[in-house]
Amino acid sequence: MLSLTLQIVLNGLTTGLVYVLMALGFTLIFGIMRVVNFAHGELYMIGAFALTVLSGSLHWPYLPAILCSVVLVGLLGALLERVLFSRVIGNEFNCMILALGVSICLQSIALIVFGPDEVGAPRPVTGVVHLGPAVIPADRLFVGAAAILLLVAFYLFLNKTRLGLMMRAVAQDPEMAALHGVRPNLIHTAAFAVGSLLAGAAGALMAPIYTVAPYMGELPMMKAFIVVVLGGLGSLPGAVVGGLMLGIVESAFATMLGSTVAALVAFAVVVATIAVRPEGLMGRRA
Amino acid sequence: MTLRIVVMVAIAAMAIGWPFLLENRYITHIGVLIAISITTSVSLNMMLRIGQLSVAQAAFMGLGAYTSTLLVMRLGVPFLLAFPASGLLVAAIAAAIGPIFLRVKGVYFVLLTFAFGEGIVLMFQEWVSLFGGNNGIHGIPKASLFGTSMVSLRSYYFFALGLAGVTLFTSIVIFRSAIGTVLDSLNENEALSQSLGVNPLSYRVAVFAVAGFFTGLAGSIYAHYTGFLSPDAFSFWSFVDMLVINVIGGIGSPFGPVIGAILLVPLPELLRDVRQYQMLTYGLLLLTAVLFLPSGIVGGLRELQRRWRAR
Amino acid sequence: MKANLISACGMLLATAAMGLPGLSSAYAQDTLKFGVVGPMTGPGAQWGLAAAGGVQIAAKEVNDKGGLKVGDKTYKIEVIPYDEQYKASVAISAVQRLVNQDGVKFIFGPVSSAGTLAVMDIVKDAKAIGVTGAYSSKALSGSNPYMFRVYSVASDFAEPMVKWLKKNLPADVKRVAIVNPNDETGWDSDKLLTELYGKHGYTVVGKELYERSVRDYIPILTKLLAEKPDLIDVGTAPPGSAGLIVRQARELGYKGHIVKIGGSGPRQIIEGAGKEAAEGVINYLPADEQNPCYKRLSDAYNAMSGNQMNPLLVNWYDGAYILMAAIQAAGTVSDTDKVREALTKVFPYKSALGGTIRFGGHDIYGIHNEFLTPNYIGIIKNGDVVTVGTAE
Repeated sequence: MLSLTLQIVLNGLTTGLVYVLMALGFTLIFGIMRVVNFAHGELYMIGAFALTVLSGSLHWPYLPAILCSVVLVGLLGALLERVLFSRVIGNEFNCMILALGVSICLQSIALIVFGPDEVGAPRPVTGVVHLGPAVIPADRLFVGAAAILLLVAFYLFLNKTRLGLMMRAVAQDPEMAALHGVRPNLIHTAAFAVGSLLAGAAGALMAPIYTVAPYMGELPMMKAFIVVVLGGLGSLPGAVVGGLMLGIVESAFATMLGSTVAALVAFAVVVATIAVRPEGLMGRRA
Repeated sequence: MTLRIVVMVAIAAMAIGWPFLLENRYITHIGVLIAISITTSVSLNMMLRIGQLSVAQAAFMGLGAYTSTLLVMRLGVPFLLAFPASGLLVAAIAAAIGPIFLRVKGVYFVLLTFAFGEGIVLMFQEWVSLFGGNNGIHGIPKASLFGTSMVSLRSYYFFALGLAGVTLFTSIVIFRSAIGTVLDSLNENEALSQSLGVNPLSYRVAVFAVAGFFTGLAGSIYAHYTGFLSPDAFSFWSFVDMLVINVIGGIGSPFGPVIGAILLVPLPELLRDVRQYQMLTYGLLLLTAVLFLPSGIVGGLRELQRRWRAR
Repeated sequence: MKANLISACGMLLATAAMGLPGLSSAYAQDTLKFGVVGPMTGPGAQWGLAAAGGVQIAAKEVNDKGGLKVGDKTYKIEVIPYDEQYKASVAISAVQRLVNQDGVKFIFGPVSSAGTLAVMDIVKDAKAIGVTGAYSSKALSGSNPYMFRVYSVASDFAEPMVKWLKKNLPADVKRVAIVNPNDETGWDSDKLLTELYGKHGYTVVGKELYERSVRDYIPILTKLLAEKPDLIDVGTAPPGSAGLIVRQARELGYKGHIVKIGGSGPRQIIEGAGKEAAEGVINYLPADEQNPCYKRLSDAYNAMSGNQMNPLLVNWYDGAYILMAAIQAAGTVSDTDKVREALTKVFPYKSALGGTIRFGGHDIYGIHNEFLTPNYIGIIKNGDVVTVGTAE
């Protein structure tokens, strides 16, 4: 029983960390631009395909391949913001529809370019690691470690760099930030780029673990959405706590009662949370 | 004004008349799908007019479809009763959750109805003994009215067209009437209307229930027409269809979704041969509409009319 | 604002223009149309593409030889493939279009069970011949003589396979766990496998059903592995998913046997699981990959689509020839009742791969409407599939 519990927690933490990466980007974009980014799952998918092409088809070594994939998705995010989202910013409704349109376009472009087959990406690490009575696949441990590294980097970026501090300022009070000479355009582009980059990183990290296919982004998008609602839309600490919590709770429910029950419970909690406390479990009251 | 009435009568006559001139089962099939789509999209349009994007509409359609199906198949209720019951049940659910759901606004309402809708679809999937799970329910009997079974495609077309007409008419009446004025003022200045003694929440709940009612009825027709139900037909993506129809046609007018449905529902059928480009076309249309035609085709036509007059 | 108006008009024009070719139903006198309805995108696409590929290769071969001679006329075969996306609602639209718009009388598919159950009445009402790929036992019934099945299903080959396992695996293999997708196909497989393993002296210690969209099987595997199974059967899981299940089970430290009785696709299992994890997986195979004709078909498919061939393609290829033989025997391309009658008389039919395809199903479905194709057992060795026996 103890070993099963440990196994459940370990499984939950490793998936939870990926949820955190997805949710952080999603909530950052919302916090700063008020855009519900329905295309977040597709950015995850593109990150995964980028890694598959670079390290699989072009035989790049893993490290440059993953760095390049992540940067690529970040740049794509910046481009999307400049060309599309900047035109409708401020109108929540149009932003949502635009994001939906982008999501459909990216998914179908991937379908046209890569075809419907599920493909595998080369694995940087293989084998299993034993932790007491529990086992953990080495590649998942690797993903977990990489995710933690990214989280630390993201934290430092927000708290130690000028751009990061400006972003936080805009997220907290756009008008005040503007008075202090922060240019919202730059911040919006940067936020969308960083948010996309995190999604791309999640995708690129997970590519060797699951198979890669054009519609693979839908599920992680759904998870990010649940996490963000629980943690509070726009709340960064909320995304971290929410992501880990969802990972563990889901792992426990899925192991004990089946994955559909886990999903049903998650949705019920989301409905209850928004209805009772729309700002989320950890969000500030607007 | 008279010109407008003439045009509308002409369109209505065309909608009713063409199946007699052109007897083609496949095109009639598309016609049925368009009529069902008009009903659901105009219902979504009612919600959009009160400023709330309800993602749960697809799940509402599913609830109507399953209600009608189960009443007819399990309890032997005649279709004549099951049909209104499916609409009423959905309306009742909307009226019950409305006071809680409609208190939240904007993005939060979208997310709330999204989660609610996904939960309903999961229920269809998981509660196998009642809803048949992912396998769905097949062999749903044809709708029968007053003892005669609706076997022909054409009778379904007229039935669905009738429902679409009633839905459209209701939407126009609601938003033209005094209620509509109140609802519009709600969007503009809620504090003001509250101070005038209007309870905005109850108006919103009423619209939510009416939209749910018609969506449920559309679900019932859909179920008995296709003879088969499965949860996937009511997923997030069918909501996206309704939304795209609204955005392309124009959100500001009940005629927007009508035009949107007529143009978009046949699209996947026309693009079937190039199926991988089907979704892309959909996405690109959506982007184009949001960026260049924010009030949809109806908005564009109105602008055209305004300019014509101004010359 | 001007740009808006232009784009609006442009969109209207474009829609109208696209409408024209779609609505005119051109009917050429000497063309015989075969429809194919299967999932061509998404999970399960392997099976739909196999159906379309098999029928297309057969049609091309016949057309290259001048066409199909029926009575005193010669027909060019035209294949119309539609994607059912593994969704019943989409399958309905596809079949509606085939029978009512494209004027098709012969349909291969739908491949999915849900899709097939959804269109059975449409096929029957239109008096079209349907050759389904559905695993569901409800796909064939005495009340619908127009629906046939192109290959043997689990109820035909599962028992011989379990017997083969009993004979060839070590005697200490006792505890069995079964994993299946949560829908019609999965439920049928779950029921059948539970019964058969039990009947042949195994103990079923765990069973799991999962949603098709799931990619992380670690939670359900954690639960199953806690029961210490010696053998895991991944049933009718789509090959891509099966590959992931195999890999994740191995990564959780599972050392026992893995068997797949149903839904074949050993190449995708190797792709999804990796060479090491896939080693030793025992597969049901619809075709013997070592056969020279297999290589010929595989090359033809590769040249046509650029993808790797799924072994099920062989069954669809044979199925297309069987139907053409029946059409020739009936001497008509329009009277489907005659073709239906003729279909029952073309068996036993020699498969392109050499085995014999018989006709059967009466005991189970109350109607003889299944093409009983030969079945093989293959083991994954060193990233390749080796045929080790037959499941007859």
